[in-house]
Amino acid sequence: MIPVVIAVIFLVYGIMHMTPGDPVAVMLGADATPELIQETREALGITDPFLVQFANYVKNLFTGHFGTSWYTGRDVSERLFAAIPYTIKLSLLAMLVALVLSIPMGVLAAVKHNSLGDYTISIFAMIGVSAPTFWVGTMLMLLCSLGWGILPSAYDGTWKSYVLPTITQGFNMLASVTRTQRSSMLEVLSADYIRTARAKGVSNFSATYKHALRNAIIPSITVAGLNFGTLIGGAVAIETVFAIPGVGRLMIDSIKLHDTPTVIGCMVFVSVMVSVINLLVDLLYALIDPRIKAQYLKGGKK
Amino acid sequence: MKKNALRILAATLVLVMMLGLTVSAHAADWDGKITIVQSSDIINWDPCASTDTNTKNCLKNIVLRCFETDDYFNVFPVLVNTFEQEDNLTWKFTLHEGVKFFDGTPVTTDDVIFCLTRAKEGSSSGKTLLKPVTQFEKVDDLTFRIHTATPYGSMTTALSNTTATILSKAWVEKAEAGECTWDDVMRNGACGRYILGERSIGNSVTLVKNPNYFNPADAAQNEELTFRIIPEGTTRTIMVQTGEADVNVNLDTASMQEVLEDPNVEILQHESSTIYYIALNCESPNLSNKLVRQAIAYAINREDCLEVGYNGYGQVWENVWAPTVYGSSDNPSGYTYNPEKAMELLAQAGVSNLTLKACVKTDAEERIAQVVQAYLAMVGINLEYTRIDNTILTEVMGAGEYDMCFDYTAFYNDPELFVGRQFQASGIGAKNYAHFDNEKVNELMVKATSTLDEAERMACYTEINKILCDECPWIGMFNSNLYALQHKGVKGVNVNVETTYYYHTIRYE
Amino acid sequence: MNAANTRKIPKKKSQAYEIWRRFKKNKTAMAALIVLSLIILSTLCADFIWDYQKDACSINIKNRLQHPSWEHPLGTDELGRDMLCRLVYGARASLTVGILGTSFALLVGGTLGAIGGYYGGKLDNLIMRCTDVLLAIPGLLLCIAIMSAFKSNVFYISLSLGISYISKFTRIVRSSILSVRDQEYVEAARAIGASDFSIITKHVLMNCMAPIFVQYALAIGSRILSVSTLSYIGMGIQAPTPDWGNMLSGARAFIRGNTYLVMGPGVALLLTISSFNLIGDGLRDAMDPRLKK
Repeated sequence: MIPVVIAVIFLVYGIMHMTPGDPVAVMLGADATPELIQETREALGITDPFLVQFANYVKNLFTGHFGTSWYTGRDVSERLFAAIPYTIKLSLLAMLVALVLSIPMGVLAAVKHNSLGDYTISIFAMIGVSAPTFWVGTMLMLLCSLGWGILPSAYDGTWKSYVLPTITQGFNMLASVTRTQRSSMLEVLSADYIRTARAKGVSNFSATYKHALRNAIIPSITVAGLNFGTLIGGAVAIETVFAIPGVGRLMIDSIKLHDTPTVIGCMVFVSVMVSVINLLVDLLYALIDPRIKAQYLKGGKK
Repeated sequence: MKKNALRILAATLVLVMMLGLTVSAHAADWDGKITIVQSSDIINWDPCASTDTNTKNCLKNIVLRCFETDDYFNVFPVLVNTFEQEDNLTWKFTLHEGVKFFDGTPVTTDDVIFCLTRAKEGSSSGKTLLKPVTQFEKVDDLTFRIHTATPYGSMTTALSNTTATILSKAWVEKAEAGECTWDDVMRNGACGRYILGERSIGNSVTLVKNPNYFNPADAAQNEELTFRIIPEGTTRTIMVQTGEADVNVNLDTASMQEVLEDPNVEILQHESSTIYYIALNCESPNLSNKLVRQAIAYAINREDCLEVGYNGYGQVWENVWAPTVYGSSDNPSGYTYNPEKAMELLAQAGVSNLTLKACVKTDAEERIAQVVQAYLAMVGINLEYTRIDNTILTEVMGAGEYDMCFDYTAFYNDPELFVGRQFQASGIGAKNYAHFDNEKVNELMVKATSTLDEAERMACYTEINKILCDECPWIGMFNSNLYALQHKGVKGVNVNVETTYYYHTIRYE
Repeated sequence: MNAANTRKIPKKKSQAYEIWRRFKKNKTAMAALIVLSLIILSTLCADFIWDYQKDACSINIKNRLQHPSWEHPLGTDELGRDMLCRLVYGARASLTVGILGTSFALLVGGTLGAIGGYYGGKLDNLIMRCTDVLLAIPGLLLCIAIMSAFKSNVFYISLSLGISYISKFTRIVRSSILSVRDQEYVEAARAIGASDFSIITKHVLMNCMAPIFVQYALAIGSRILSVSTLSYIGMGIQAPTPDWGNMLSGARAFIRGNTYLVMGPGVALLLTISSFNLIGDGLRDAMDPRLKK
């Protein structure tokens, strides 16, 4: 876990290191003398070799310091920590919406394979993945806020203002989980053990929902877990449309401001969070699939 | 299973329905709170460092200046009680008695002189605006004199600029030493109509009415002002339509049609001194040749820029200066759309296969950039643009990262107040995005500022304007109208030639 | 020996043919294949109908924001350019980004996943930790970071969007392989002395094609859509080159009064993504030995 996180930080830091732009010019303005610029450069440590800078950065991270923002002149963590809760709430809720809707939809599509219902669900999910979030968001806003007047259009601190962004975000993720659920369900339903179960006299319902679903749900969880990162990436647009002051917006603002430390801070935070989620997904596997649990217990050897 | 899915769907729908109405009826039971939506967050409370309109407009509610301006930049005293011009080179001011900062300390001449000196030395606009000043002289705790090297008729206008904001010396020094934040200064060391309340970075800023404001007649007419930061133009408009916000000060003209049809909102408009222009970096090897710059000025169809960028709400304007500026005239150099002439000039300059890098900051500018890109392509110039944030425009242009930038700006009437900042060497690295420095302009500026004869000054300004149009450091495109959107029933929103201003009069009745 | 060889060769041929034969029977999959071919064909033939510079790039403000009509079947955009023309040309950049990026990811990620999943042990561990690193950085954010460091063009965008998908394919292939690796038929193949490579490609990989195809198809769509988010935040493909992403994001200021601006690229995206999906489904059904008759 820790080496992975450090590697992630290294990658992010390396990429951002190549970004053009001189922080000192931004910080000091036009009137700075060359001597002052040089002094400030040294004080900021940006004249050090890359690896030294990186080592210092990681060292500071462990004490909770994300570096000094070139823009506000204060620690990046100040704005970052303010933004984090919004993004986490939004992403978790969206994930919940997506899972709650798509697993039943996927199962239904598989059970009624090639029926009208199957096609309707597929098309619905496809629209979700091919409609850009900022469009879906604006349309929902026009409908629910301006048309019916039942939900606020922009974030205003209440839970109601999470409804539209969450639906928009979840809708976008619907397709991948539904499709995965459908295809893995199909696969499992035609597997021998289900046929055996049926032959043994297990009821159709129980065979489908108890035996098959338990196995078929694993890939869906993988995909949902894997999509968590995408979800946070997608938050960039959603947070802008619905004016949620989350990490995505902070990052975009910072990129436009050439505020590299804040951008790195956002990326590092998001990446670390996603690695934790991925780890949880792995553990969840073991919980659901006894075969993998057995494998974990054996120490990963085949 | 199908039934289950249906049940879930129904449950979701019911849940959504149960959320109930969120739109509050305003006029009847107004709670004294006003919400304003704007596109960007407050960047820096330091009046000497803040450059963008949204920051300045918010700041102006918390702080006071010696003078303020009305719709047409006419100046009236606020913090100053009486003032007189003792002779051509001396101004004398007396402050109101009993004005107190939020922390209870009185506003004295020391604070005023400290802040004005700080502005003159520390900010680029202050440098230009207070350039003729030789000395700030303290007479007593409420009286001070300003001595200038040359006669300075626009002194009161200069003192009405945001950069000349009066704050508590003690608190500013603390903030500069890093002992407190600028937020603290806004809660303790200012003396305006509002006190900074809660602030959620990137989301909202709340200002609370100052109960001890020195002039009750001029105090805030609402209890609380909240600035919401809404980057997306469509969302801002919808929020005012639904009543979630009361005023949108950055109205996106693209949704004008829908807005006009809605009976729940009203549009405020004002003629403006705002010019959309392109600044060309005269030091860039691509644009150092005057002929190339002129070619660009000829190659652009300004009507199309106006139509696409601002939905046609304005007038085409070829000059660099706004129509209201002294010495400005309509199209003195004849820059109408003329691609043949542009090609001719480019051939004359011996330039071909030119690729230019530009930067844009807003959606409107991005659309204009696409139009300009298409027109420049027709004369063989390739334009690539990048989107950046407004805040770093000064830095990137100062560093010469881009050949040109798309921008808009409002103009003071008196060129003395802006030429130094925008078209002279002293402004390079600041608002002189064009890196423009011209001997003749410098001479004329000296001449204009050292004379008292209005006609002579005017002649100098006209001459400067001609040179600027000929040299093309900036290419004027159009003069936009100014719009703000308000929810029905809102009273007291002021729109002036530059921006929406003074939020303390906003109210429901 | 000789006889065995000669029998083997025609059998291989017939397997591909068999898949195709069964695929052909699947009407929806065939329809999707035709739609996709039409899209690709139209963008390849666009030059016969339009002039790229004149119709897709140059502006005509008098014609701006025209609702759909006979002359402009999909209307015109905010700069007066024909939407249909830009849509057809836009397929070039969009499909390039989608297919190039995803294929790159599939190739690298699939190989790593197969090796890791099959061999297990330290190698698997190493590969998985490497993909963990990539997987931890959300694709769009990684792409934004890369774009802010480099110039943005179609190739960079494709690859940087692809990089972030590598780990997804690695994981999917690996987990699929894990679930079939210990099954009897693989053990049987191993027992008769088949090489690891042939076991992985022939026996294991063939049996986990389904989730891979589903993901591949979806990935292409989401890559194309990612470009629209990139354009939305001002880091997409440089104008005036049309792609579906910047067409969608360019329309955002006008979507209230001119919804048709989103319809064209939206439907194109829908058709493309659905086609890839249905083809994926069809191939899976065709390849599934259990459905073999």
